[in-house]
Amino acid sequence: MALYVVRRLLQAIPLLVGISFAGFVLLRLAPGDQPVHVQYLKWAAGMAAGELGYSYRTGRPVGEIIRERVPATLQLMGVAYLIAIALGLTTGIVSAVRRGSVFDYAATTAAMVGLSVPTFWFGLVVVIVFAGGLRWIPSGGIATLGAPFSLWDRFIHLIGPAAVLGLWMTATWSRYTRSSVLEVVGQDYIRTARAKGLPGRAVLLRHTLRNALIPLITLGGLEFRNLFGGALVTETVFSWPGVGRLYLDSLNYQDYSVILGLLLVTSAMVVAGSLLADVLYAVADPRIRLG
Amino acid sequence: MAEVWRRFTRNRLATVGAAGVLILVTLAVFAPWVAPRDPLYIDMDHKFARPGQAGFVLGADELGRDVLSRLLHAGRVSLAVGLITALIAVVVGAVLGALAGYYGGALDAVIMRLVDVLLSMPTIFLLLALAAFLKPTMWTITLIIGLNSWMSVARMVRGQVLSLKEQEFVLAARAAGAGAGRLIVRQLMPNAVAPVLVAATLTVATAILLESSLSYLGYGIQPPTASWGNMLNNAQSYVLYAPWVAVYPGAMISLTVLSFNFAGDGLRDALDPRLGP
Repeated sequence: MALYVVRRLLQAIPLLVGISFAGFVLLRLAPGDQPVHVQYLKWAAGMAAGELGYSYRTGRPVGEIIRERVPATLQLMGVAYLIAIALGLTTGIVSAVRRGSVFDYAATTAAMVGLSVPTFWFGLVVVIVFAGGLRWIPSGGIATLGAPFSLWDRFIHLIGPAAVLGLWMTATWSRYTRSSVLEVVGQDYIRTARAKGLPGRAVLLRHTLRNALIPLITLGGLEFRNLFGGALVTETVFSWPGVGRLYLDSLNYQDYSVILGLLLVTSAMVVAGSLLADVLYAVADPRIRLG
Repeated sequence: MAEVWRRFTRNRLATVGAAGVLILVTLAVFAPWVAPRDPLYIDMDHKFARPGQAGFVLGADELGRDVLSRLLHAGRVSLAVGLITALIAVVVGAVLGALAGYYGGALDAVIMRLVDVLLSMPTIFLLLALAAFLKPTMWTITLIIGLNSWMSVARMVRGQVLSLKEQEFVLAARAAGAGAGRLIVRQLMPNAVAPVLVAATLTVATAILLESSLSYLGYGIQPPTASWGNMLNNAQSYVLYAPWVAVYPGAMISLTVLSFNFAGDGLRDALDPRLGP
């Protein structure tokens, strides 16, 4: 197991080098100065020491600027992720178990609609209906300006963007869960379990779901990348002060050191996410780490 | 082929999707003749005219431009970006995937590591950086989305080539003196046509979504040219008192993407029933 983790970690290194090189060439390369690899190595040495450079605009350390914004984004992504997993797994499992039912038909169609509606528009519609028409939630921000901290105030601000991002991801989770469960249901060992006379509930819980949910760990890692994109758009719609908004603001001011820093930090988080998913998968399925 | 057609047309959602695509493409092609007004004509007297008011069927935007006419013209841009992107993704993905699968070794390693790198960077972040760096025009936007969408096609074609290149019909062709190019194009690629076609259809959907997101954020198609995404560009500030300006373009994006997704899913089921959900 430890060997597998080490091997996987080593594989991530060339990936991070590739990402940082691509980002560097795109954003920091000074024309005609020194050969590309010399410029890159100089810069990468600083990076490896945790030196992300300074903002062109404010002169503050890039790492500090990013760290300020990370909690808001993680909060939004975390709640959205929970919504997506809870709702996606439930609808996916029910869909598969009742394949061909009205529920299945409605859920698969809804999931397809969810994948086809642009997040920013869904967000704007939520603002129009729930902030404009019904006045249930504020139209944006992370807290009421100038008001003292209150959990309720934070919750009422979070629920809109988290629901938009979460429901958008629910579509993917529901589709994957459904097809994963259906695939397992068709396997011989499920037929055997049924033939032994096990009650349907036991077959579903102990045999089907146990095997069907393992491949979804991979999805959990893969979705991390889309989650950042979705968060950037959702943060823009709801004026949520996270890394997505910071990225757009930095683009507007052409603050390249912050842009590059964010590109690297988010990519590193995506790589870490897929690494974590692979390790969890190996824990859950011995065939992977031993194979 | 007849069997594929039968399976496709028996799938209700797929038929609806294909019909939707056909209607949307027709409307886009004939937009200049169908649109009731000039999409760029500014009429400040009718700023934010409500739908149905003063002959503005779907209302007017913040500059008094006709929303319906802009929607029709924007459709040309958004569909063109989506279709050309899919073409770029398929060509680049098929060529690189076939080369990686056929030659293996260092070439394979380099191509597949490039795929890994691109698949590790959050798409919108990368596209925004590229769009900010280049001058955003319809062509640069199409190009950067296309060059970020070929990875799944490459993986698929590579897998297909790998699994087929040692098969007897390929070995026979090689023994008969066929060169690498001929082997790839004549023997190996035809076997990858079905999954690539499905991927292309679904790529159109993703590309339209990406273009609309970029344009919404201000880094895609630039005004005054209308795209469905940039029609929502300033919507934030008046969405609460003129919702129609924001609602219709988003509905068009959703309908279009949904049509391509339904058609793509149906195509996959029709081409290979085993691939289906």
